[in-house]
Amino acid sequence: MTTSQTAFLSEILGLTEVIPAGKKAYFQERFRNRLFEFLVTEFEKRRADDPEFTQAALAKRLEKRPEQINRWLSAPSNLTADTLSDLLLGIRAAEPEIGATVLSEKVPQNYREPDWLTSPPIGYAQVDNSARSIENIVPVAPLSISVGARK
Amino acid sequence: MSIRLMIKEWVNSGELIFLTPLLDFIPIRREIFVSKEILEALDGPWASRTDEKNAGRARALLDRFTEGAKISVRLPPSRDVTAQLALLEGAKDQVWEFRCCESTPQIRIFGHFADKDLFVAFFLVNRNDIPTYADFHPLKEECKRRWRKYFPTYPTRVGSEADDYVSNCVSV
Repeated sequence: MTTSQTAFLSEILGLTEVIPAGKKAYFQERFRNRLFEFLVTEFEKRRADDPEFTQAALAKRLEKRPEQINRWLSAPSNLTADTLSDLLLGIRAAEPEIGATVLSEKVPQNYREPDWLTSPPIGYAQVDNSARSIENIVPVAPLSISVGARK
Repeated sequence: MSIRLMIKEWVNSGELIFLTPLLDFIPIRREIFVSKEILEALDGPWASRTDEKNAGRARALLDRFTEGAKISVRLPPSRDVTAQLALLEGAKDQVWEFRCCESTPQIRIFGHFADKDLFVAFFLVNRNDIPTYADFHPLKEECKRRWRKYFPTYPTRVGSEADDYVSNCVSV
């Protein structure tokens, strides 16, 4: 099996130990990915309310090149705090709410591998994965920061 | 026998490994299986600090895939260079790459979709080692060869749009 969480987080949860470069990189990439999902979700919400709101409209609003907006909404990137602020203002007239969750306090998942990988052979018992289908799962909040409308 | 049972056989033999997310609060909403060589590259030990950081970034991307996070997907004829997951040119071959664009050098992880949200990854390559488009050809052939080795009678997943392969995606 692969590295366990306990081993992976050992230095991080130690609070005083040096955190290895690979582990910092893991969380940096994860954070970038979560920010990307957050922004795209905000953009999609705006589009749902206002189908005429396009990336081009956002570019115009923020006085940016359309290609730059496209890059930010196409893949995770190393956004600055200023860019994040601008994008949220431009997309939803919103600002981020900041928060943090201690890793050791997060609730572990019951399933650590697919059901079908550990289930008995077909004929022993039927495996029903329908409930695990991604469409049937309510999405979790993509980021621990949320947005509040500008007052 | 379904493709999942076939994968399970390879897992039982140790040839493929289910990539369990490193953090146990990450839910499993998609599935990715990797070869031993990929697991070794991700888990270390690494030859350098750069390799270690690149492995960390690549692992985060793959864990986000498993988590069911929103992911940007490129299908030809799009040539978007920012997509996190891309179907390579010559779409009939159904060879895909995960792109870890923030790492230096960029890392590409090659494999095939066995089903929607079910990816089998065979090997990874530094983007610097693929200087031209022509250099993708032998990598695609190697990927296809490995699929045939593991799943000789099974086709890969075939679709016409990103959502046929990946849920919760952004098509770029």
